Amino acid sequence: MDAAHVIVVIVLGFAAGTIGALLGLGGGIFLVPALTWIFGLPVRQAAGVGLMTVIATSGAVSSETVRHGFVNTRLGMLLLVGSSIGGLSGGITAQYVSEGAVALVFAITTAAIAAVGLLHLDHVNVVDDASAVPNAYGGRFFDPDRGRDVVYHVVRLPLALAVSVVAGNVSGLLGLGGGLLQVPALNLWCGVPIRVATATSAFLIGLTAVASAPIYFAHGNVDAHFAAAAVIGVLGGARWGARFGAARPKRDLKLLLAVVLSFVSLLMFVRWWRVS
Amino acid sequence: MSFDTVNRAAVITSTALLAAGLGLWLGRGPVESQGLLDAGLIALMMTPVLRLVTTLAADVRRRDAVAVATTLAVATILGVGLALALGR
Repeated sequence: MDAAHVIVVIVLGFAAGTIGALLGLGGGIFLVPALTWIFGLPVRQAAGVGLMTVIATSGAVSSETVRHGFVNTRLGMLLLVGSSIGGLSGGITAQYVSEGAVALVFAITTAAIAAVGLLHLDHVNVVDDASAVPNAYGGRFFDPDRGRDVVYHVVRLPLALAVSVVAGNVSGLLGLGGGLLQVPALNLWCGVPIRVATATSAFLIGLTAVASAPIYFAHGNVDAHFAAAAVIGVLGGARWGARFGAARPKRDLKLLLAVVLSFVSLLMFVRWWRVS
Repeated sequence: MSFDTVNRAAVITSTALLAAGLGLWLGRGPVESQGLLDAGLIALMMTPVLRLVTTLAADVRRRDAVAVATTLAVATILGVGLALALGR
């Protein structure tokens, strides 16, 4: 690795940070293959660097979003309990279901969610009345689209929890972050505004990643130079993404989410095709 | 201290350590930079833990018993899972 490599890794980190700030996803699905293809890093090493990037993305995005009231920690922690349980039982799923089958189901699911998302780009979750009282897991935040405080109610909480369990379960199996299923599910079916869903997801991914990052670190599976360069890029990307995202109408964020979901769906179809 | 201050300070500290380590490595070579880079990565891994602590503090301040219990459950699951994995 030399100075030119450092610059490439900083750029990759910048992209991961931007995706994290805009959509609340860690960007590992793009970063890990990029590190293995471009630099020939072993998958374990790339995953170790990826986890560090996810932690950095989560921290950098949270320092931009928490003060805007976008992060719902009360809901987030509950969902994290679900995804942790799903994650712990991931090993059991892996014994009974093949990787190809999981990839195929995931491909179909993400394609379906992307289609539903595209049909509901103008779907509104907020109550445009600052004096309304949010329900148990709901909240209040300053909505940049309206320029004033709004309220939202969280509905179908059991569905949100079920999605979290499934997301946690398949994420270990497929090497994907759980946010990819959670963000659209919260927004489309559970009453959570897109900015709150993405910010809450960004807040959570760092906690999920820190459950395994120290294991990679302790076993020498984190290349410190790659990680350092990627983290520096993430910080810039997250700052830029947060500003850019706040200035864009939320419809654009939903459109971008649908595009990313379609792309991941395609990747998973290819994976299923290769395995079977 | 507010969540924002703690989180921001932790992220900036870890990034500064990693940037210094990377700069030293590019300028002087691997030996002198490793300590700084490791310290930066450890500081980075502490940032989500600090977020969990400040979230818990905010839950307690709001006297929100359900949220306190949920956050404690998350801390327990993550902590036990990590301890088991590192002990293997």
